[in-house]
Amino acid sequence: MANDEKKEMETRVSFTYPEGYKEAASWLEIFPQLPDQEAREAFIANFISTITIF
Amino acid sequence: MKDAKALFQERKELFDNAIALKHNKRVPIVSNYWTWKILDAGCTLSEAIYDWDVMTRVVLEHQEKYCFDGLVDCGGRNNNKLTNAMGYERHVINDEMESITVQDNLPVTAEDYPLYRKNPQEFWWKCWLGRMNPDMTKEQFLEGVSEFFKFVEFGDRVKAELLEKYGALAAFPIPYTVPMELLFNQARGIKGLSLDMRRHPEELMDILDAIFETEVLPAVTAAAEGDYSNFITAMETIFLAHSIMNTKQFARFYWPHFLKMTKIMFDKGQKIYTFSEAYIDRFSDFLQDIPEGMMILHPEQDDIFELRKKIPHICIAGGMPASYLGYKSEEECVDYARKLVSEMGDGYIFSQDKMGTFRADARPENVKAVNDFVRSYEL
Repeated sequence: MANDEKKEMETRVSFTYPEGYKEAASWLEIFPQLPDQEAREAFIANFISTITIF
Repeated sequence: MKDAKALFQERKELFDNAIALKHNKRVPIVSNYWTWKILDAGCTLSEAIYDWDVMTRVVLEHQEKYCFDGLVDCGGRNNNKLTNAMGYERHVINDEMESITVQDNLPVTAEDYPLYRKNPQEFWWKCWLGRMNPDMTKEQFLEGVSEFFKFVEFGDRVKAELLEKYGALAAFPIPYTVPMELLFNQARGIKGLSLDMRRHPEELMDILDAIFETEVLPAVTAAAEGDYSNFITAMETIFLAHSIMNTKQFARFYWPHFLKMTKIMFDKGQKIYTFSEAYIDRFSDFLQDIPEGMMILHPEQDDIFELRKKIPHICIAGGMPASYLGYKSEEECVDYARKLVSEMGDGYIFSQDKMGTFRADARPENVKAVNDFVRSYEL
């Protein structure tokens, strides 16, 4: 991984709302299952609620 | 030997009849083995839990070896790959002790409850994920989401293979729970929730209603429209939180949501699989509200012969004690299995009482012996 890319991935998640939430949602553009920002923002809350079981 | 398609048809009919309390030619058999089957396959817990290909092999070998008609667990209970990727851990694996310890380190507090009503997205983001790993990196977050999609793909694939290769049915596609279970097991924890019922009952009731309106109602309403003909039932739900509640608390914080949630499914003709940890007998009066022939109740510790007298309108699964399967002879196990199928008969699904977890929960030869017997016993 290039240094810039490595540094980018070490970026911390900001658990602020709405700014950090929306930023994290924008990162999900790499997943084709989530086609737009609206879908990505809706996904995160459902995702968290679901993974609480693990 | 019948082909998978013929086996599926036969098994589907057995389960449908059992749930509907109709006469069956034999009692169907469901596997309630969870991490036990990993150990039985000769793997360590970590080897299977951290590799979906290994877990797939474990599940299919379990089916190949014991010829169940259906399975409650298809290998998806422990997603440590996802939690570890995101930098936290709730289920700690000890391969030497062959055990998994659940940490009651859930982050939500009673002071957080009003935030859910105001903004559920913000609640889950700040009060749950942000506290499980406040130092999470972008890489960890994206890796966790990636693991989630891999997990979904694994679940779909292993259930399809069970069907195509063996004609064996998964008990349900996915689980849904009432809000009280979500808080008890996943967000607030045992100690916190016990205190909240006494110290913050109004705030607790408000968040329970809010979770039901925001998450449970839409999800179950959508799910009720689905086609689940390849499964034993349309959904699983569980009784866990009831174990810390008295009947008054159960009537207030639990039962109304359970009734509304299940009614959505029942009104569409969908059947439900309910696993009950601890004892459910003391709430059997509430279970009179469940319509006849629509639900499987799988109790962990209740005496199912006595429970049958109180809830004759509900199909019962389970009853084969781990204390027999793990410690008694083949003959003693088969004798007890005979008692179960001959006395419970129609409206009954043969299975283990508790979730098969530890190596000592069953000897492989006993599992085979009781399954072979039940499969051959004509009702």
